[in-house]
Amino acid sequence: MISFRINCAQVWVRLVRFVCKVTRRPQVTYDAPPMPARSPARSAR
Amino acid sequence: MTATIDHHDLAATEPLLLPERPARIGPTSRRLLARLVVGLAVWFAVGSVLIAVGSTAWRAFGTSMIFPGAGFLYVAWPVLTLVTLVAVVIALVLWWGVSAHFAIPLVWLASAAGAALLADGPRLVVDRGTTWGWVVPLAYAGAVATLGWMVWRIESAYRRKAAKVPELNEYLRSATLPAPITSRRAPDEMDAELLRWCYDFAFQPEDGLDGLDWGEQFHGGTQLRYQMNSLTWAMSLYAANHLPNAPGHITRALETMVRKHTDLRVWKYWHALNLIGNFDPNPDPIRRDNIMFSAFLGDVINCVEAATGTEVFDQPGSLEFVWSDGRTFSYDHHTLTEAVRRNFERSSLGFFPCEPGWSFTVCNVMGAQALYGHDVVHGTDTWEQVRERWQHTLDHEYLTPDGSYAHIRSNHIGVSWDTGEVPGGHYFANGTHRFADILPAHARRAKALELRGAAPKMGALSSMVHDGRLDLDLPPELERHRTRTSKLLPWVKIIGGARLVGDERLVDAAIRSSAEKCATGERWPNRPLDASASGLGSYMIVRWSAPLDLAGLAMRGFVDPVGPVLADTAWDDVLVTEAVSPDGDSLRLALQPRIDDAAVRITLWFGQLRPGVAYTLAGTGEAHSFVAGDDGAAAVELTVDRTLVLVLAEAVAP
Repeated sequence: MISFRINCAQVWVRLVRFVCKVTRRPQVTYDAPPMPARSPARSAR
Repeated sequence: MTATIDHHDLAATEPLLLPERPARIGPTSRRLLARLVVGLAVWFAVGSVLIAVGSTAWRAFGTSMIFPGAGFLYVAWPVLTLVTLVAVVIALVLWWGVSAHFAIPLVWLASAAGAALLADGPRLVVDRGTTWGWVVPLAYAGAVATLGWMVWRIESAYRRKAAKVPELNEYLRSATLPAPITSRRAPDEMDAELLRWCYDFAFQPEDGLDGLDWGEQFHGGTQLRYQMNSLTWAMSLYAANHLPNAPGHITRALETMVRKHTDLRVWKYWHALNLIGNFDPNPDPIRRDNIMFSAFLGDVINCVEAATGTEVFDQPGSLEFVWSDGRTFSYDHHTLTEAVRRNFERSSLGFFPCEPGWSFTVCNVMGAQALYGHDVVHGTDTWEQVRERWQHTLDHEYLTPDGSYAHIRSNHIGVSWDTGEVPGGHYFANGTHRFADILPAHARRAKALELRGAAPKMGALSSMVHDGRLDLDLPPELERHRTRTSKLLPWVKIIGGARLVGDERLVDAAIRSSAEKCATGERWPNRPLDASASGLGSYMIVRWSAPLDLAGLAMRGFVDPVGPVLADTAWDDVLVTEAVSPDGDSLRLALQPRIDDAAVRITLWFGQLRPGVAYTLAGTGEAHSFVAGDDGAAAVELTVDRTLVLVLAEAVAP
């Protein structure tokens, strides 16, 4: 089994924090965002 | 009687020992790794040929093929070597995080191409066209050192674990497991607050999801799906353990909770993952991979059905996932389960992926649970269809010599590593049932191995219990999203650990003290305890896990309530926190006004009474006497102005 010494989970959270800082969005919020807008309907399955 | 304890009596199972001569790598993983090794060998060979016979540009290209970014160093651009190494780390994280399987090859190839393009170009501090020939042997040394270090770590971990096997087997042969805690704790004021929060969450207007933590949906600890799962599991436990004889309101709440899983905001992430990892634009969250959604939802529905007996999700089209362009993916409990089973069959590894290309043990345990639980409530045999192959994968691909399982494995190249998600990247058991339902002997072994670490710690904590309390000020812990700490998380571990060792006194003390120390006094959409929504869900699960825990509930399935039931009342005005029949004849009820200090006059409609028999309803409230009708029903009016604990029982003849 390959073994690295990189804590992906921690690096991931730092990447998310960085992206949130750049995009000026909160990393975690307690306010639910609205439902995503619907685009015009395509053929249903 | 209210809760049937047909428990996973793990102590009765024969000990499952660890293999004396464990394989280093399982057969499928070996095949995948061999493919990787051949691919790398070809890659290095091509790189070596380019170094040997190529021009300066091709030598730079080939040097980067031997070690990512080394070509930049060869053409005297050390800064770009560092940039490449940082890019490799980010690519590695994206490979794991969003299944960007192309990320590392892309960075590697780009570093080679970039070095080749710069071969005759300018340099930062040295002359144009400068090359450093000493980099070529350094690149080989770096490659050999990196691969050697990896192999050494694998081998040393294997040998360290394998050396423990005789001692562990000796221990397993004689290990005794504590009996599970099966006595029911009467709900208290904090239970009422938590139940109130769950109802407020479930019945919030316009299909809302207020009350959760919102953030990214891949790995950051803010995944809505897991928050929804944990809250629904907790409510299922409450329904089964504390409200089996008043199922009406909590059944509706649980049905609503399951429907909330179909909210687009909960499963929208899959489109991106499927596109990046599988190059598949289909947003259907059930059809392919995504076991972290399909299996978890399947298990959630199993629990809801086992707790309440609802059959609404067995109806065709009862689970509708509507994509943003209007495409609708219709499923129900059966077709969802079938999709999980089909994915198991489709996977050559035997476990199928969460994120494309990555099969996690925990999620595949949940997949097995999803099949098993469906079989219990519907009499099917889906688990049996995959059990043998599934167990082979667990035992031969994921098991390590000391009895722990690798957390993650690549379906494409057979590697695992410590991703930082769980300590050491391994665990003895996982999933909400920890093998108790699907593989009881494995559950026993895992529990015995876990006890070696947990029992001394829990013993020390148990000695600190005084007057039914554990007076500890535990340091807050970071939530998984790492943006805040929670005082509740260490208590979740203590209550879970105390349940593991079967220390009921410690469980009760920790439940009482955690509520006292972590209460916020707030209500939905804020939280009554200091924790994230996931933390709150986990806490409610460990708090409400007796007499039935999630495994016990799944193994039992649905059982009709025995004894009198509270069939209906003004659920919006009164909070029923307890409705159980301890003996099959009487009914113990606890109720309080839904709104504080609001005395409400309500009617309680009872059912399943003995026709024509006189009953009394007495306790901390008004006493009532009545005779059950021919249909076994009766109604009683009373005022609820505070918490009332009442007992409905047959009247004793004077």
